[in-house]
Formats: sequence, C-alpha cells, structure tokens
Amino acid sequence: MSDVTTLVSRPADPVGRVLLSISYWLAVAGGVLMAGLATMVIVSVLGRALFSAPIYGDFEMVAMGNAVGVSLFLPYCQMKKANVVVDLFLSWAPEKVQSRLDGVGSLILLAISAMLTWRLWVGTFEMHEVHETTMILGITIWWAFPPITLSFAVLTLACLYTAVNEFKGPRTQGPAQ
Amino acid sequence: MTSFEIASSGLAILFVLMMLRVPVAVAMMTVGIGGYVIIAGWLPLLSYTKTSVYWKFASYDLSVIPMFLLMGQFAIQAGLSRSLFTAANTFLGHRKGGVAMAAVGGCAGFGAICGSSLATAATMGQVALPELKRYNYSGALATGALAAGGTLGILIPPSVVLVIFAIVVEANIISMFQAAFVPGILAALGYILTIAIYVRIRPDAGPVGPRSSGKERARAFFETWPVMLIFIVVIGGIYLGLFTPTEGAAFGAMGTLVIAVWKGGLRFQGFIECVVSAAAASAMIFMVLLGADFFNSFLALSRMPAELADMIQSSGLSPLSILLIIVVIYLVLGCFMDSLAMILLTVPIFWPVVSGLDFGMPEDDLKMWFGIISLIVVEVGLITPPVGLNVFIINSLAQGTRMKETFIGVMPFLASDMVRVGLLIGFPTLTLWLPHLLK
Repeated sequence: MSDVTTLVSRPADPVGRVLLSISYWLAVAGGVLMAGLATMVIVSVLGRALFSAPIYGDFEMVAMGNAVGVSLFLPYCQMKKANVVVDLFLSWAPEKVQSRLDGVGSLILLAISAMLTWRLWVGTFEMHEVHETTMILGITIWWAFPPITLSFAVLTLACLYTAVNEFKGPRTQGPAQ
Repeated sequence: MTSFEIASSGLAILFVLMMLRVPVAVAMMTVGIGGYVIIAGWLPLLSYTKTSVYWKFASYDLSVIPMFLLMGQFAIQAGLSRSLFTAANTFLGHRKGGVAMAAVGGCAGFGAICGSSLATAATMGQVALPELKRYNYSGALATGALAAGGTLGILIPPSVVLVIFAIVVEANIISMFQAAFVPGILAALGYILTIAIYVRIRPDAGPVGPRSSGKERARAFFETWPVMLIFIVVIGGIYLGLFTPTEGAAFGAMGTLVIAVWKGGLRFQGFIECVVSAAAASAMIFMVLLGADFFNSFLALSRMPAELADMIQSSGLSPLSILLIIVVIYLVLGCFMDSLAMILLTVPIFWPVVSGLDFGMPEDDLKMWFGIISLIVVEVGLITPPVGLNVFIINSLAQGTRMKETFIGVMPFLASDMVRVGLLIGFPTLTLWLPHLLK
C-alpha cells in the first residue's frame, strides 16, 4: 500500500514500452471510471438529501463499475512489479538469484492468469447466454465481462514479459525515462 | 491425508513460497488452487473461476477501497500536511520536544483523511523533517516520532485494512470505524506522552521551539479548515449513519480533488498521476483479495479452521491466554509480512477460534474489540525491525540519520504501542464506548 510509481524505471525495449503504455492507459481508464462512479454517488446522495430523488439502484452500478475498474488496474501493477513481496529471508542472496526467483513468481502468476483469462472468456459467453441481470436496474451482467477478460489477457502478457526479463538477469531495464 | 493435514501442509507451502519471494497474492492463489483441486477436483475449480473474479470484485463494500485511495492521493497533492503541521506546531512547538509532538499531531490530522500508514508517514515526513532538523532535534527522536506517527494513518478512520477486516468477519464497517476512534486518539496521545518522557531523560534530543501568540495560533488553526471540513463531512457522516462508507469516500475523494486543484495547484497531468498511483495501490490490494479468496475457499473446504477452533476450545486454555498467543503470533508475523495480507491470511483462521471463546461480550462487540486489537498489533509490524516499512520510508527522507538510529528512536514508541494494546485488552470499553453511544 505504498506509492509505487517509481519502483521500476521505464523499459528500454519496444515490447516493454508498448505493454507498459497499454497497461498504463488501462489503469487511467479504470481510475477515471472510479472517479466517475464517485461523482455519480455524490449526485445520488445530494439528490436523496435535497430532493428525495436519489439515483435509483446506484449501488448496482458502483459494484459493477468496481469490478471493471479494479480489473483494469491489474496489468499496470504487474508491469511495475508492485505486488507485495516478503523481502526478508533472501535479501542476502545475490541479485541474480533474487531476479530468477521473481521470474518463477511471474511464471506462476502467468499460469494462473492465463487460466483465469480462459475461464472468464468461457464465462462471458455463458453469462451472455443466460442473460443474468442485476436485481433493481436490470443491467445485463455480461457487459462487465469483456473488459475484465481483456484485463486478465493483458495481465497474462505482462507476466510473460516480466518473467522473461527476470530470467535474463537482474534489472535489465534501461535508464530512467 | 485428511483434509486437516492437506490444509496444514498448504499453510506450510504458502510460507515457503512467500520466503522464496513469490508475491503474497500469487502464493495464496497457488496454494488455494492446488488445495481446491486436491480436495474437490478440477471440474469444480474450472466452473467456479468462470465468474468468481467478477463476483469477488463486483462488491459495493469493496468499492470504498479505490475511493479512499484516490482520496489519499489527492490529499497528498493538496498541501494539507503543511498546514496541519504548522497548526500543531504553534500549539506545541514551545514545549520540550514540542516540534516532534507537532509532527505526531500532524500525522493524526492527516490520518483522519488518509487511510494509509505509508502515505501518512511519507507526506508528514517531507514537511516535518526539515523543521525538526532546523530546531536541532536528534535524528533518532525526529525519525522515530514520524515513523510511529505514520501508523496513525491506518488506525484513525478512514482505514483500508479495517474495511477488509470488517468484510472478512462480516462486521458492520461503520461500527468498526466508530470503534477505531478512541484507540486512535489514545495512540496519538500516547506518542506525545512518549516524547515528553523521552525529552525529560534526554533534554538535548528535543529542544524548545519558538512560542506562538494566540493570534498566530488562531490563524494557523483556521488554515486547516479543509481537513476539518473533509473529516467532519466524511467521517462524521459515516459515524452518524448519514452515508454509507462508499458514499463518504466518494465525497472525500471529490472534496480532496477540489482542494488539491484549488490550494495545491493540481492540474491535468497531476490528476492522471494521482489516479495511476491510486490504481497501482488498489491493484495490489485486490490481487491479495483475489489470492485470499482462493486460499479461503480451500481452507473452508478443508474445514481446517473449524477443527482448529474445536481443538483450541477443548484445550483448556483460558480465552485471555489464547488471545495473547494470537497477539504474539501477529507481532512475529508483522516483522516480515504486509499488514493487509496478514489480516486476510490469519483472520479466517483466528476469527472462528476467537468467536468460539467466552470473553463475556456479544459477538458484534467481540468483532470490534478483536478487530481493533488485531489492527494495532499488525500495524506495529510497520515499525519493527527488520522490515519496518515506515522506518525505511522516513529514514530515506532524513539525510544523515543512520537506519540504526531510526530503529532505536522507534523503540520508545513501540513501548507505548504495547502499553496501549494492554489497555485495550484490559478495558474493552475503550473500544466499544463510541459504537455503543452512537448506536
């Protein structure tokens, strides 16, 4: 839960740069979505307090929006290697060993997020078929699934990229900015 | 192997993975998925994961987390930390150790609009460290007070970890926030008292600053109005039940944004940077939440927490000694684990144990009491060696102060933490008074 924007410098290779900017803009989109939801909540509360006219079922939009927004944040977190790591027991080990172990961690997450991407893909079609909707507003739930699936697909690519980099050696990224 | 044995080996593997630098979230997912497959097979897992991510993330209660994090980012940019520190300093600065006390007061004020300890420590550190240096405060006292003061960020509501705790034990988030208020104030007062004792023993560590006139005090106090306003609207509104926590956080995020644009000179580029920082911090938290979801599905399937609770209840140990054992486990884990991951990992195991014991209070009270005690001991990990994150952050901001000095400087504040935990365990009413009053 720290500020993590400066943990890793900008990658020097084109693949890294493209992946970083895709995940950066996904994160911006998710953040703007969350700010939009906050604005809607405020309008709803003011409407409720002043005119007894809240936005009906706003909490359903907040919940759905949260699922989409937070998923959009995930690839950026991986590209910046901002996940919480227990850094104590191997801090004595050579950087090369640490970097390889980080690569193993990225590979595991690669496998998991690839599986989740696949399952979410299947889930998208299933939700489309059963046409499940929210209780009050009747929003079709599958609409949230494509952006979430896309986020996990980009997360999978980000894991692949970071894993390859970490196996190549410690901190092979180029100079900052 | 019985399910209990599978779960216990899973826990052991989890710790090995974490020691091997596998991210906490990923380690939890790995063990959770592995255990789930061993007990239930592949098909249930494949069917569960088609929608589990959506249902986990599509939560109105959890949406408070990205919004509080946005609020914290905007608050950092709004320049509120300086006015808070200046105001506290006009009231306390002329005392022995007063500038350090003002730093703690500033942390408490900033903690009232920011739910993260590291952000609180870093922001107040940037403002207060140069002043402390100007008045010739010893490096140990200056950095120790700020590292400890930072932990007020998470104890004084809003608090991200408390939201998560409430969701895990299915407690009311609003009453958890109410419960944290008095312990938070106690913490700030305890740190100030610690500084007073410290400078009595070592008078040269904290020289006196200039005395301010009543007029200066009034003006400096008035300058902190944005913080007061946001705190009263957001936390007051949540306490009194006018808002849900998400609604309060929405007002807080947009309110701090307006102040950051108006007073802090925030522009479009800065706005995007705030959004991205909040996004990265949220992603970290939701990754751990997702990992904990898999891990806890596996634990629940194994029935290990329930069996463990039965074993402990029939062991004949008194409830108090079991609570103390849990506190010690937290203190040890806190030396190397992140507080949020600790809560998510341990509460599903410890809560069934604690809720089955007779502490002579109803379950809702027990949730608040145990939650606040856990939160405090978990946060102590931020200032204990070898990986006290707050200590690292403050030390990196203070040039010329060695890490060892900072860790030594933090020790008196650790003692104050321990006294407070003792008080809160001994007198549950300190925690429960406000929630009962506002019920």
